[in-house]
Amino acid sequence: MSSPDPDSDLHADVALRRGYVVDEFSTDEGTVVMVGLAPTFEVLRLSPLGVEILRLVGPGTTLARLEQDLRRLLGDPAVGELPDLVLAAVVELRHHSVIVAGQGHNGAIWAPSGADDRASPQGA
Amino acid sequence: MTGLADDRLHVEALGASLVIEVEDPRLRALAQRAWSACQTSPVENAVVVRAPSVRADAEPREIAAALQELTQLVTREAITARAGQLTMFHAGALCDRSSGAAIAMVAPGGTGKTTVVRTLGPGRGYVSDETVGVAADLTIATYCKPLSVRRPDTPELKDELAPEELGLSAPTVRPWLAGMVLLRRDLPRGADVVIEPVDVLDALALLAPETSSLSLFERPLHHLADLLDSVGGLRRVRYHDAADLEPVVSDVLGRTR
Repeated sequence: MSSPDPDSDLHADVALRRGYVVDEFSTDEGTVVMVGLAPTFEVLRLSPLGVEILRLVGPGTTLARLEQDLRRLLGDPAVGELPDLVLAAVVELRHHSVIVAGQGHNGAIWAPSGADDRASPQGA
Repeated sequence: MTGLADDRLHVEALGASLVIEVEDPRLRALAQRAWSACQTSPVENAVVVRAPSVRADAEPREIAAALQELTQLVTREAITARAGQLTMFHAGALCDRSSGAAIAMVAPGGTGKTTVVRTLGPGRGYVSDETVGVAADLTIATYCKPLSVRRPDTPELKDELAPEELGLSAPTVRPWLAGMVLLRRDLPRGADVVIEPVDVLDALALLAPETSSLSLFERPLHHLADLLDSVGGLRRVRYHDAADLEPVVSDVLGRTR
């Protein structure tokens, strides 16, 4: 029996918010984010679409609204359908806690407190 | 007075003062020898690390495992003590004995840091084979721990060997970070070393998993990027034989402030 799809709740009206983003670092070449809650953090390099999604999500953002905003900003993609590309990017960002969907914790409230995130010493 | 008084061994690790309590006399002598390069004078309020207990009829391999666990405990306490003060990398490091210029060689556990340090360390300052702690002024708090050397017959077990047993000695001047490389031992035997510059975005993503307590710094990614910028960025060094890294190490240790 297959396990249920954890992203089945990503319908057009689902609310999207910024996730547990501790820091962002950008150059002309792209953007890297540090995300997570103590003691586990992850550093990810975002795709250009991921950068735009992170910039656009905020209070009142839904998946449908995000698609509209991206279409207005970027136009239709040369390859593939925009809704498919946006959904795939949202799923990826959600899995890494860069954005939060639905009724999850509010990242602004539950931001990392700066507690210890040391890695376990290995090879010692 | 330094070293072992009764069952207490006073050591300095990453600039933190710790007391290793070793009740078992079989472990005590071995620990004293293994940690000789870290021994220091007693300090009040030092963090206490209690050595693991071993059975009365423990076999030598159990003693070795206890020493290995002790090293992990000390490392963990030292890292905790300096969290938020030092930028700490999972790395081995060597320095020039005169200038203190040091190379940090970042790599995940079990991928060759100790071998590189053992191979290229004689005649240089041994900074660490496990954790490198860098201060804001780029000076390095040494961690001259026992080297954890994998046993050929039982790879899951490591022997904790004193640096001097391997011809290594602690730095005689304060080391400072002159360069940083990411080691990848993924080339076939006989292949030439490949040195690749890593752009800062990839460098952040590659280095972050090999840091400790990075999130305690204000704007952690910017903090790490600034540090990288101050040492000329990150280079990925792909190799097979540790000895082939000699030119890379010599180049960085020849730098001046």
